[in-house]
Amino acid sequence: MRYENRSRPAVDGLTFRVEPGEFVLLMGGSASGKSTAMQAICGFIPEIIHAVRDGTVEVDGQVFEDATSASKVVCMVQQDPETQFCTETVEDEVAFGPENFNMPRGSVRAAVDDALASVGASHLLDRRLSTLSGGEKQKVAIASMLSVGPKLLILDEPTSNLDPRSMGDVVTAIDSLRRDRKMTIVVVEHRPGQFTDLASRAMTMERGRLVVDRRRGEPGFADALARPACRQAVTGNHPGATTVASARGIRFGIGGVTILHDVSFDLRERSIVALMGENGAGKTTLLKILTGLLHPQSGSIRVFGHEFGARSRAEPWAIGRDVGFVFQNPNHQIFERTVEREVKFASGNYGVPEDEAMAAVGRFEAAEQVRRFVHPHCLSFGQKRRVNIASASSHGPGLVLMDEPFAGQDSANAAAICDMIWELRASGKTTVVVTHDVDFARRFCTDVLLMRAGTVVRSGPVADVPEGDWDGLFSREGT
Amino acid sequence: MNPICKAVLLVMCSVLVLTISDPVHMLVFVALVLAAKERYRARGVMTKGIIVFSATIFLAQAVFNHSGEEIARWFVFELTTGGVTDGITIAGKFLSLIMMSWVFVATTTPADLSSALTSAGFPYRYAFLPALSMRFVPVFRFELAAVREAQVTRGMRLDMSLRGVARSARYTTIPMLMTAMSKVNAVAASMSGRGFGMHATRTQLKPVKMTASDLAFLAASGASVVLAFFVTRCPSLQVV
Repeated sequence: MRYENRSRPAVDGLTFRVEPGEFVLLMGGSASGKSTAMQAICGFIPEIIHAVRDGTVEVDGQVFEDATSASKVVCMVQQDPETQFCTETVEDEVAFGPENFNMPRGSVRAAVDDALASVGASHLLDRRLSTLSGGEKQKVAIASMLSVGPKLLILDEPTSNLDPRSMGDVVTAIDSLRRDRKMTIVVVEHRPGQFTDLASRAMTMERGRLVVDRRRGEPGFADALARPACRQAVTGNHPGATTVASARGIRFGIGGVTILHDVSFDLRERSIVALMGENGAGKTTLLKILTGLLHPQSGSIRVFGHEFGARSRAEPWAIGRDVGFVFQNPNHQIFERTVEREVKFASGNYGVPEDEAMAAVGRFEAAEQVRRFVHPHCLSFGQKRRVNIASASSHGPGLVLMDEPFAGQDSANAAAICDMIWELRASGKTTVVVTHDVDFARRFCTDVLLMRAGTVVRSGPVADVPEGDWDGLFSREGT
Repeated sequence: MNPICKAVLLVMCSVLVLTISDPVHMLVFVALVLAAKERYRARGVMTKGIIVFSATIFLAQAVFNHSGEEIARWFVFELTTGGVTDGITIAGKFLSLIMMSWVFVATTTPADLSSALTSAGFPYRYAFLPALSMRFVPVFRFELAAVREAQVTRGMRLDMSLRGVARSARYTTIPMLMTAMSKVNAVAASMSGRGFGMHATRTQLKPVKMTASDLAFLAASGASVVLAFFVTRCPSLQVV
C-alpha cells in the first residue's frame, strides 16, 4: 500500500493469517505501517483513505469491496474515540451500527444492552457522550463496534491518552471480550504495555514490513513483548533553589462546577516536573491558568516577573514571553508553511534577534535531519511534535509547559522528546510535563506534582517519593 | 413537538417577520420571541456581538436614513421618523430571526430532527446530515479555541483591526483545515465501518413520528401566523 504522492510504500509485502480466537498485539514505531494495514483490512483503504493497494485482504473467507460491506465481520476502534462518534448520546451511538443493519427494533435494543454490558458500561446508557471521561468514551467506542457483532475487532491504540486507572478499566473490558466472548482481537500499540499478559501472538512491523511474528509458547515471544526501558536522566539531576513560578490558593470553576480548588505549589529553576493525575483532574486547566489563558476565581500566581490572579489579569501573549506552551494536538499549533518560519514564529512575535532565532532553526535542522524549507505538515507525527516544542521554546522562555507530549509517540520519538527536555534543562529552563507515564516521572523527572479531583495531593522532589508508592499514585487511597 | 412542525413554524414566522413594516408590530413580535426564548431557556444567544450588531443597525438607520419628518437635530445629525422606524424594523427582524432560530436549535436534538425527517420519508443518508453537522459544531468550536490559544501563547496579539483579523485568519485556516480533514476521514470511516449506507432503509430505535396533536398544533400555529400576517398588513391596524 502506498499513499498518494509518497514514493515509499506504507506497507510492503505484508502477509499474515490470524486464526479465530487469537489476541494479536501488533506493535511498531510511528509510520511502521501498522495502522495502515489495519485500515486496509477494514476496507477504509482505498475507499475512504486514498492509497494504492496491491494484494488481497480476506476476512472470514470473504473478500470485501468496501468498508460498508466489510463491517459485517470486522470493526475497528480508531485512535481517538471522540472523532469517531457521530451521535450525541451513548444509546444512539451504540445503536448506530445495528440500526444501519436494519435489525428489528427489539434486536437493536438487545444488541445495545449486550454490547454495553460486555465492556462494563451499562450504567452509561442514558449519558450524553460529551459528559463522559476518557476511559468511558473508549469503552463506549468499543461497545459501538461490538453491537454490530463483528468476528474480528481491531483496536488502534486503545489506551493512548488514558490515565493508568482508565487504562486498567479499558484493558479489563478488552480482556473480558477475549475471555468470555472468545473474540478475535488485534490491538495496535507502540508498546506492549498492559496487553502483555493478554496477547496470544506478538507481531512487530518496521518500515511497512512484518519483522517479528511469534505466538505464545514459541521461542522469542517474550523478547517480542519486552518493553524498551524508559530513558534515564543523567546523574546530577538537581534543580536550582530559586523559585521561578508559584501558585497560591488557586480556585477555578466553570458553570458552577469547581475544577481546581486551593491549588498551591512552587516550581524550582532547572527542574523537570511531572504533572500527573487522572483524566479530568485539572492538569490542563492548571497549565492554562499558568499562562493566563484562564483566570482563576481566587488565588494568585507569580511566574518570573508576572503577578496575576483573581484580582489582576495578565495578557497571555505577554506571559508567553517567559512561558512556552506545547499543546496536546500538534496540528493545532502549526501555523507556517516552512519549518524555519514555524520554529521562528514566537521569536518573530517577541522581537528576538534574527541570529538567535536562526540558531534555534539550525539546532532543530541538525537534530532532526530535515531541511528548513520543508512544510511542517509533511513531517512525521513525531517530528511535528518536536517542531511544536522547538517553536514554543525558540524565543527562550524560562518555563516550558508541555501537555501530554508523549501521547501517540513511539519509543524513539519519546526518547527524542526527552532529549529536547534535557537540553532545555541544560540551558537553565524549567519544564512541566503532563504525563501518565509513571516510569518517565520516576526515572527522568526531578519533581512530581500529583493532582486528584482538582487539588494537588503531592508536590515535591521525585527522590522523596518512596519507591513502593509509585504504583499507588493513581489509586484513590494512595497519595 | 415534532421537529418538522417546529421547522415549518420557524419558516412561517421568518416569512412573517420579513413582511412586518410597522415598528410597533415589530416590537410586539420581538417581545413575543423574547418570551419564547425565556420560556424554553434558550439562553446564550443574546451575546454581546449580536446586541452590538443590532444596535449598530438601528443607529445606522437612525443617523443616515433621513426619510420622514424631523424629530431632532444635533450638529450635523438629523433624526427622522423614517430613520427610527426603519431602524426598529430592520434591527427587530435581525434579532427575531436569530432568536427564533436559536429557540429551534435549543429545543431540538439533532437525533430527533434526523429521525423525524426519516420518518417523513426523507432518505436517511440526507436526513442524517443535519444531525452530523450539529454534532460537530461544539467540536470545531473547541478546536478553534485551541488554535487561538496556541497563537496567543506564542506572542500573537489578537487585535480586531483589519490587519489583525487578516493575520489571525491566515494562521487559523491551515490548522483548522488539517483538523477538519482528519475528522471527516475518521467519522466517515467510523460510519462506513458500521454499515451506514448498506441498506436503502434504516431501523430507528426511537422513531419520531408525526402525531395528530403535532398536526393540530401545526394547523393552529399556521392559522395564527396567517392571521398575524393580515393584521400587520391591515391599514386600519397600522400604528405608525
